[in-house]
Amino acid sequence: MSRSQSVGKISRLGILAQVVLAVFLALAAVLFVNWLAARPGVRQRYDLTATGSASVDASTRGVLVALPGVVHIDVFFRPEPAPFERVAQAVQSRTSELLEVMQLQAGDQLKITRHNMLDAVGIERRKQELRIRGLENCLIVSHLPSQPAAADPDLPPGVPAREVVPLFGRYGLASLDPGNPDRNAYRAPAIMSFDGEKAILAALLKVTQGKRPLVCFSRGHGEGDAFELQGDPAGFGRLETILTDDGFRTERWSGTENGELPTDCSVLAVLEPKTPFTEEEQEFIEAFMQRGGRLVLAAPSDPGQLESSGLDLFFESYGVEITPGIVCEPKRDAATTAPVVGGPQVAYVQALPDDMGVHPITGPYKDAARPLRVPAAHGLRVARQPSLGLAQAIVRSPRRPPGSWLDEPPFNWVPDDHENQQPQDLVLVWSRGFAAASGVQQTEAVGGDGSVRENRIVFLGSGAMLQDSILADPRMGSFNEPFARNLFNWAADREYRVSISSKDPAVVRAPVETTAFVVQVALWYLPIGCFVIGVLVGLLRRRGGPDRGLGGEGMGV
Amino acid sequence: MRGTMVIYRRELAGLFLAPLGWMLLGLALFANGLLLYLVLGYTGGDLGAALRGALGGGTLFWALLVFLPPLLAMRMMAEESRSGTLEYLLTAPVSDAAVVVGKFLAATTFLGVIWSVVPLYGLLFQLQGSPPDWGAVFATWLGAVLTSGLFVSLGLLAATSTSTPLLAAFLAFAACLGWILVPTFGGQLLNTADALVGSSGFGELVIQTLRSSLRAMDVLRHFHFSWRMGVIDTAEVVFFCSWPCLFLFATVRMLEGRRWRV
Repeated sequence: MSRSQSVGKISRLGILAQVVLAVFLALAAVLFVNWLAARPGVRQRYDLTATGSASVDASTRGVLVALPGVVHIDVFFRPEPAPFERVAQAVQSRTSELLEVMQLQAGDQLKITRHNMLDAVGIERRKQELRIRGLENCLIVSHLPSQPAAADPDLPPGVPAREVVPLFGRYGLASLDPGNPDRNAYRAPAIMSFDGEKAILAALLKVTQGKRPLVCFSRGHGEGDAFELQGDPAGFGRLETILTDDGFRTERWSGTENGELPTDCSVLAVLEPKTPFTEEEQEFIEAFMQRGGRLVLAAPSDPGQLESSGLDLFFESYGVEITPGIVCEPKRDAATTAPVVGGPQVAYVQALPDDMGVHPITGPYKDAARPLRVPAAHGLRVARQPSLGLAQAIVRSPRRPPGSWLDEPPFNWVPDDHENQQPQDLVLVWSRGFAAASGVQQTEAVGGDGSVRENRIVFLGSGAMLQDSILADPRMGSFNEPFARNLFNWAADREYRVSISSKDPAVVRAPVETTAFVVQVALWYLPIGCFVIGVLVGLLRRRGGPDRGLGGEGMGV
Repeated sequence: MRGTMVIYRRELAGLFLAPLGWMLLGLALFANGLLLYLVLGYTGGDLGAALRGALGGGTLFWALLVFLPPLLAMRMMAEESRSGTLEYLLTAPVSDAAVVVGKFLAATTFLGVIWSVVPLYGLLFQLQGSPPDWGAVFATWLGAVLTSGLFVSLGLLAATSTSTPLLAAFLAFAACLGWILVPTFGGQLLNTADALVGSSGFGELVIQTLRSSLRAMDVLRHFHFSWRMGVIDTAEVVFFCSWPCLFLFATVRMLEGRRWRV
């Protein structure tokens, strides 16, 4: 080998080493830049969709960033049999996207495992870990607190709290219209609403909350039953179900039968009593309030019942006045658009987001631009602010023309001259520091465990807005259900649990004729046009046309 | 920059003033139209799903991304190398980087033109009274263009390694296909390994590291959970810009290396 050949080889090796080193350095730089760009503080996401379907709600974000430990979500998705395979696939796809967004928000606190349904061994192992037997098309959200004291006392030690979120159903990822298989009136199955975010959020909260707060429903004073699910439209059975599903425990409470309120009671709901509480019961409630208790008070619609219940005096003891009159809103005739008055249907108010105050209870309504249905409500007024506290209206009767009015008894459902035609407060929230037994107001309360306490009360001008006649009605329930959930969550100090509206599937369906036209253009006109141009270009090139302009000289290279 | 633009114009003209470019375009548009038709039928006229389906939602889109960049790369690199025009280009008063970037931009523009047909479908739907979600369409289109850029750069790198056109196309095709498939099949292999290893400390750590690496490289996941959802995510912008930069850098180095082989 000659000397010059040897030098050439060494030089080439040197150059090769330089090139390889440069490429590796560049690779390291790329990896570093990608790592840096994915850091939570650096990463930014801009959701360009019209409905915000690629983002999660602010309340969901709040929960995700504050998860108390690692939460596992096991995804057990498999294809559904016909005719549900398409809707199932659509829900699974959207859920996967949602989980990805949630994981971005939660970081390492959320572990998502997508199981291969063909891996029988792996699935069986995971089922044993989660202590579950059957398995359907679902998500399983589970959490095992690192501190045993934070675990749900109802579960055996070492067993994670778990919650199953099915694909469809009331508490599932989506609600489904099963369609109509009849050939003569065939309708394909369709997604009614995509509730994945709400369902997963509820499951996350259930598995991480530990001991569930207790809501006691007062009874023995003619209140509608909260544990009766069938039949009574004036009952509160649906409300009880909603609260249980949202992670509350519920119990009946009667002062004459049970004595004092349970020590672990978080909220006492007094919904439309018809007779007054005894002095002993009032003392129990006072004692409960001095422990930092919370109340939800709903007045009966009938003025006679309101008076006999003594609830008006109970309201006044907290500085809230309640009118015997009923708030009415003129309904418009569908044909003439003229106001319709003179019937009981006008004692039914629809509060729009503009009629709501900024508060955790009503915030989601304002965000989602949803109305609230308030039937047969009394007007409320803050006569006296609590010392070192605040009472404020969060729902008012409409201000928009032709306006609402307060129909006084005897009711004629017509706005008379002497009747108040100003907007009325329909729902009030009230909060203050703990009131000691001596009557001395304190800024805050220190409970036996050393925690700071606060009294909260929600005054409802109408208990009917939580009755089964509204909440159990499929057409009306969706309007008031988040409100019911929100007000109890606020009362129980769980503002972070405020409800979110279900996100509709955001489907824009093109009519068949539109589809046919666009498909024709897409499938035939455009490709054929390209082929025709290609042929023309080929012919021109043969004749030496456009080829002259191509290549070296023409382009200045 | 001027050199890049000159090469860009030359390559673009080479694509659009040749029958092959229009034939490829016609085939791609037919495939896109077919996908639109199928998804519209499958979803009962769901506009959003159909437009997203034509841009990244279906296998056909990824098949086009696996086939078209290698063909373009073969034509731009190996074909020129075989015919000797590449050497002519490299001795012209433009830098190697300008040559590579110009070719890259031209090929990406060509694919961008193909994907631009989807907003055109959207416009047709809008004119017919069914407006699409334009934000989502724009984000998905942008993602499709950036993904195309990634595959084009990978194809150029693979095609530069040989002067045999067919081999170049095959290498580029294998690289693009591998970029898509390795994270998917690798993940499944890791699941099997995970079941075998169990919860032993070191083995689990290795598997977790490999899993997160594969996840970080999974282009389908990067595309599906950002662009296709209608989201512009800065981390994804960095991903879809930085990797092409690396591949282009490596391509330039390989082109420079040619001088030393002679």
